[in-house]
Amino acid sequence: MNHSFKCRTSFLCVTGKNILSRAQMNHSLLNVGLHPMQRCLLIFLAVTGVSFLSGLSLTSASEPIAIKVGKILTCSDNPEMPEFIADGVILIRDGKIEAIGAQSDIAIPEGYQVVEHPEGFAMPGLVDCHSHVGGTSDLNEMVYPTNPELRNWDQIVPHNQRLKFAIAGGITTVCFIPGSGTNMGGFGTLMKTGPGTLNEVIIRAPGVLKIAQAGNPERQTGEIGSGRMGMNYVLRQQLLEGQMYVRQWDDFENGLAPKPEVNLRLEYFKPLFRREIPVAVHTQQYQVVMATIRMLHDEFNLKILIDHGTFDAYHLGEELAKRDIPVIVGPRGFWLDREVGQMTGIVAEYEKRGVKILGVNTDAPVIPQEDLSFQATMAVRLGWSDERAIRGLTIEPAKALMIEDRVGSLDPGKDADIVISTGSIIDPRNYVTQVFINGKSVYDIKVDKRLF
Amino acid sequence: MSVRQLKFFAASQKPRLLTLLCSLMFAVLLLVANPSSADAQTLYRAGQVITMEGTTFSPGAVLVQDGKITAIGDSIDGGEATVVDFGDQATIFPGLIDAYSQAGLSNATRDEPTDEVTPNFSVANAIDWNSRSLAQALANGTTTLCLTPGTENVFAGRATIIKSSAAHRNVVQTDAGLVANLTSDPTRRNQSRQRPDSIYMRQPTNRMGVVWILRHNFHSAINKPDSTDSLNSLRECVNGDRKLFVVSRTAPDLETALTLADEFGLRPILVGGQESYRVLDLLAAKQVKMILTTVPTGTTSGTERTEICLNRAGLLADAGVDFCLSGDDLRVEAAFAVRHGLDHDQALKAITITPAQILGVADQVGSLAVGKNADFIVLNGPPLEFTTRIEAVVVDGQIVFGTNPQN
Repeated sequence: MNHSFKCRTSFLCVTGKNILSRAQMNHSLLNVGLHPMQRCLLIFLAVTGVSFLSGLSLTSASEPIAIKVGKILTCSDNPEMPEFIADGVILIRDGKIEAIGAQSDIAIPEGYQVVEHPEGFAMPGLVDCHSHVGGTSDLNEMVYPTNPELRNWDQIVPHNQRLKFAIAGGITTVCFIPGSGTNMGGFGTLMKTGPGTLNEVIIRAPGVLKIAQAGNPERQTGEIGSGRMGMNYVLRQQLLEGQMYVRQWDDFENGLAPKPEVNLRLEYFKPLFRREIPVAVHTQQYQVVMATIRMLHDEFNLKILIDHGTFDAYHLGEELAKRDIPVIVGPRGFWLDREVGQMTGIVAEYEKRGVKILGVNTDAPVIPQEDLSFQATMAVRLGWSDERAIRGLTIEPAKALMIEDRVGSLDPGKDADIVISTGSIIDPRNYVTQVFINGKSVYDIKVDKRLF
Repeated sequence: MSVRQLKFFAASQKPRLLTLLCSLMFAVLLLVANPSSADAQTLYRAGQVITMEGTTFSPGAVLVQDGKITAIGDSIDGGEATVVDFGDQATIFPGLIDAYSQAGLSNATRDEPTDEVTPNFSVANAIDWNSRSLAQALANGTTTLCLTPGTENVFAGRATIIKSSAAHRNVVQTDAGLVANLTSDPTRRNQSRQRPDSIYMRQPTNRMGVVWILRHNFHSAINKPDSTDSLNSLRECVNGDRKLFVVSRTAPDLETALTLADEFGLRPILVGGQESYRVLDLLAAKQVKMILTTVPTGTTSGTERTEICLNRAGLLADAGVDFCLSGDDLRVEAAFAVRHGLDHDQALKAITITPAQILGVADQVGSLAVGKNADFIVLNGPPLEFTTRIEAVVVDGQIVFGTNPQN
C-alpha cells in the first residue's frame, strides 16, 4: 500500500498537470479540422502517452466503445467544450474517454462496440465527498481524540452491496472516510464504486484527512475536549506536531537538515502539509466553521473542504468564497431561521454569497448512498440553479477532492465514468439506465435487475 | 506381555487397586530385570496401511521401536517384536494434525486481558493436560496439535505444538511461532466509554486501530534495534527466524494481512480464511500458506460477518493455494470439504502431511515413514466415510485410546 501511496501522490502532484494540458491539447486538435481518423489516432497516442506518464496500470479494456446518446451534459470547465451536446457520441478506449462530440462531427472508427441511447442523457459519474459505505463499518477508533496514524483503505470492500446500489443511483466515485467520533478520525480513501481489486478501485490513498471540528467528537469522559475550546486545543497541538515533522523532512529534502527519524504515526501528514490532499472537515454552525477557516486554512495553510457546513454557517459564505474553499453541503440542506421563521436553502445561500466549488453529500449511510441526486434536487427546490446542481454532483466535488484531472467531467483523457439516465437526474422522476466505470459497463437495466 | 502393553492394560481397564499395584510392580520388575526393554519392538498389523507418502500397503504392517517407525511395508519380519494385529478389516492411517487449536486452554488462560501486545506470552505452561477438549481431540484421531493463544489481543503470544496424549505430556515444540490477530476480535472488550481508567479503555476499538497496532509495532521492531524483548520477537518474524500466524477471516482482513506482509517483509501463515475464496488470485500470487478453520454454515453477523462458501477449500485447491484444514473433528472437516468439491486425496493431505509441513514438523509427524514418530489411528473403514469408527489411536508407538485387539 505504501507503494500505491507513493505512486498515487506522485501521479497527482507531478503528472497531474501534464494530463490536463494533454487533454486540452487533444481538444484544440479536435478543432483544427483534422480527419476524424487522424483525430482519433492523435487522441489515442496522447491518451496512451498519458497513461505511460502516470504509471498507472490501466485495465486492458476488451474492446473500445462508442456511446451514442440523445444529450450529453459534459460538466467541462474547458471553454472549448460545450456544456451540452445534442445527439452526441463518446468514444471510450482503455478505460478513458478518447473523444466526445456531436455524432455529425465524430465518425465511429471500426471495431468499436456501439451502445445506443437515443433518448438518454449522458453525464459524468456522480462524486460523493462524504461516504462511509466503501467497506466495513469500522468508522471510529474511540480512545484518543486525534488519530493521524489511522487509515481506512484496509477496510475497503470493493463493489459491496451498498456500492452496487450507489452505482444504480449514478455514483461512481466516493470519498470513503472515517467517522466523526473523534476530532481527527484518520485518513480516508478516494475510490471508485465499481468492481475490481483493491488497487484497481482506489483512486488515491491517503485521499483526505478526516477532521471533526465539533458537533460529535465531544469527549464524554475525563479528557480535554468536551467543549469547543478544548477540541480546538487538541486539534491544534496535533497539527503543530505534524507540521513540525513535515518541516523536518522538507528541510532534509532541501539539503538544509540531517535526515529525521521516520515517525510512522505522522507519515501521512506529509501529503497533507504539502497540500497534495485536502482535509474533509466535519464542521457545522457559524462558530465552528469560523474556527475551521481560521485554524485549518489561515493558520496551517491546509487545503480543506467544508463538509456539512449546515445550520447558520452559510453566513460565512463570503469568507469562504474569498479563500476559494469548497463547500459540500448536507445532508441537512435547509435551515429554519428561528428569528424570522423562514425556511432557507443552505446551498442556495452559499451560492448567493459567491462560493464557487459547491456541492452536496449524503454522509451515507445517514442518507442512502444512491440518494445523492435527491440532495441536489432538494437544494434546487430551495433555490439552487439546475446547471450548478449538475456540476455540484460531479466536477465541483471532484475539485474539492483534488481529483478533477481524473473524474467529474466528460473530457478526453479522463476516466470513462459515464452515467446514462432517462433525463436530467435533478428531476427525481428520471432514473439511471446504464453506468460505465473506467470504460466498462457495470450496471445496465437491460441486463441487470433495476436497483433504484 | 511387554511393558507398554502392561501400562496400557493398567490404564484401560478399571482395575481394583490391588490389580493396579501388582501390575505396576510387575512393570517395575520387568524394567529392572530387562534393561534392554526400552528397545522392545512392536509390530502393528492391519488390512491396510495408508502412509500418506504416496503408498498404501494391503495388507500392511508398521514396526515400532522407541516411539519411532523402524520399518513399514506389506510384510515385515518383526523378529521377536510383540505383534498387535488389528485385523483384515482395519486401516492404519497417520495421526491427524490440527495446526490451529485451543484444546486444553480454558478461556481464562488463552487471552491476556491487560494488554494488546503480548508477543512473549506463551501457552506452553497454561495447558490443562487433563482437559476434556484434549481427550476429545485424541478420541477424534488428532494426535498432534498446535495450541495457540486466543483472538482477544492483537499480538496474542506464542504457540506450542504438542501431542494430544495426556499420558505422555509430550511437547513437540515449545515455541512454535507468534500469533497475531487481524480481525475485529481484539476490539471486543475495549469499547466501554464509561470507565476511562479501566484496562478495557484502550486501542483498538475498531479495525483501523488493529491495523495501526500491527504497523506501529512491526515498524518499531525494524527501526529500533535496542528495543524491548517483545519487539525482538517481532523482529524475528521479520527476519524469518520465527513463524508468524495471522488470524483473518474476512476478505478485506486477509488482503490487509498481505498488504502488511509486503510493507514489513513478513511471510505470515494465514489462519481462518472464511472469505479466502474472494481473494483467490491474490493468495495464489503471494504463495500464501493457510490454515482454514471450520466453515460457518449458519448466518454470521456483526463485524466478523462473512459470506458462506461451502466449497472454499476446493476453490483454494484449484487456485493452487497451499492450505490445511483445522477443527475439532478433522475427519469431518475433510469429509465436508470433499462433499463440496475438494479432491479426496488432497483432503486427506490437508489433515495430515500438509499441516505438518506448514508447522515445520513434517520430519517427525504427518505421514508414516521410517524414522518418523509412530503416531497413527486405526479405522474400521475408509478415513472419510461418515460411518467409519476410530478403533484405536497410537501416539509415540503406544496405544493411548481404544482397544488393543491382543487383550
